[in-house]
Amino acid sequence: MPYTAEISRSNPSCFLFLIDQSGSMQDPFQGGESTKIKADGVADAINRLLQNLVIKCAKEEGVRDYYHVGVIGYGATVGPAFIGALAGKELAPISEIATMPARVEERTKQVDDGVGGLVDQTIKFPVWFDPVANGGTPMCQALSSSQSILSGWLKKYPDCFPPIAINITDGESTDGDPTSAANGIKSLVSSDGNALLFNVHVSSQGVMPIEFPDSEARLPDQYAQLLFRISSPLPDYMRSIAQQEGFTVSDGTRGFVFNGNMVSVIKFLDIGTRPSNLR
Amino acid sequence: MHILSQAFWLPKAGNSKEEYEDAFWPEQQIDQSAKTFRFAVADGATETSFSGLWAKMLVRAYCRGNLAEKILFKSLPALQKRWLECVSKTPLPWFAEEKLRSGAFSSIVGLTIKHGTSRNGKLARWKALAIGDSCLFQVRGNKLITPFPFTDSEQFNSRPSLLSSNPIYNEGILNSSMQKSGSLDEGDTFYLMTDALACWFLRAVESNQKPWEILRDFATSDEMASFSDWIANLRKAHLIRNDDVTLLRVEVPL
Repeated sequence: MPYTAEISRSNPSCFLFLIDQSGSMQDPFQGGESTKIKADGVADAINRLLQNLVIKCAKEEGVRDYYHVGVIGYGATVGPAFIGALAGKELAPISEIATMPARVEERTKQVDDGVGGLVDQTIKFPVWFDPVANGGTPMCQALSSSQSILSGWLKKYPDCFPPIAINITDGESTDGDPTSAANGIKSLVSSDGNALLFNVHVSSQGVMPIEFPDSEARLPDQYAQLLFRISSPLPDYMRSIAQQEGFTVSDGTRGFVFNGNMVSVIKFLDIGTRPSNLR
Repeated sequence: MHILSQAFWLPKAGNSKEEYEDAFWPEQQIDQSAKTFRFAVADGATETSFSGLWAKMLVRAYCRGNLAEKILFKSLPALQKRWLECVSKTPLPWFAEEKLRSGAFSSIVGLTIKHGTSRNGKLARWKALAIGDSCLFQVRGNKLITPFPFTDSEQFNSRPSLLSSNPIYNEGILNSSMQKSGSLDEGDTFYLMTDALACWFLRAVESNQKPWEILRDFATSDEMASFSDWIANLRKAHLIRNDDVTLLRVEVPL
């Protein structure tokens, strides 16, 4: 059965993030009232995804290398987008990501105080990326470049849990229809199944987030619909965890999020027992 | 009342012994008489850190009589405080600090056996407490008479409700904790085990096999090697999930 390979330090899996850094990312995020630009939304999304992936793999002795992770930026140029000590690396083990953020900020968040109220808590927020918005949106080139990185990975780990590529964009490709390049990624295989391509659409439209839809009918524009179409369906086991997490899913559910949060995908990954009462 | 007990355990393939996050108590073989016995196994969740330590603290607390169902929530705060003290001794990197905030999680199944003559003439009574997917099976006369808390292999998944070292995650846990009691005869055997082996056990029962016939034959400490080989073969044949495995066998000899 596909998508059942064990993810372990000797047989790790791979995450590749594709980040739209084009000039259009300077437009406001989620409608007029927000002071944020889309590039802020993207930087937040990728920092949160990396943070959650690191925490998922963290144990008392350190971070276990269940994943190798890469980030491809596309805008004025296309290429590895890590900054700081990881600059230039196409893929790095998650333990290196954990110990080499560009900086660690302190932020405040409200958490449950255990007796029915909320309390402010200072948390450490590692930052690997700052917002960038410059140039066109060469999405096809970014997808092709990702295909070649993942193809190299699969030669090294032919039996791995299939790699997952997550493309975070405002959807407006400037180097053509990305369908064929997306298919190139999805056609890559390990002995456990095809590589997965998920998309996060960061939009200026102030509509409610749409997470893991099973049809393009409710999506607000042609870019969202195209990104939905090129997104892989969630494999069975992810669908079942998504359901336990409270998402409404069907056979047609795809790894696509509109103006929402892809962090839940990290919860869909199975590296061992995860308590259902840990939210 | 005389009781024999022995534990068998093995870390997940690919992990070291130090990375084993199940726990069991007592750690030594038992071959003795007493009025009360307590046994427990627990399974610290992979996705939380310091969960092996938490699992160990839970089995010890149960076997000291501090985690009986009636006083479970009275005893937990002290244990949770102690866990936090143990893990906060040194400054931690951001990811470890963040992970610690969620707390550790563990399942537990505990068995208490008390000697006494009841009205129906039974030798002794037992009661058990379970939170999560660690299980207990009582076998009498070559028949499984009590599976607890799970009765069906379909109940196992990788997302059980578990007991947390962080009180905010235990709000609904009372509904997930289960109790059971029953009588005990000479010749009965209890098998306490963590989820991977328990799932294999129930699957075997569902295919009309008698899996306890294998488990009862791991006889002495010299048999640890054969237990390890047996589990390795089950893993190779994909008959058991690759996970830490723990078996605690408790026998009431004839």
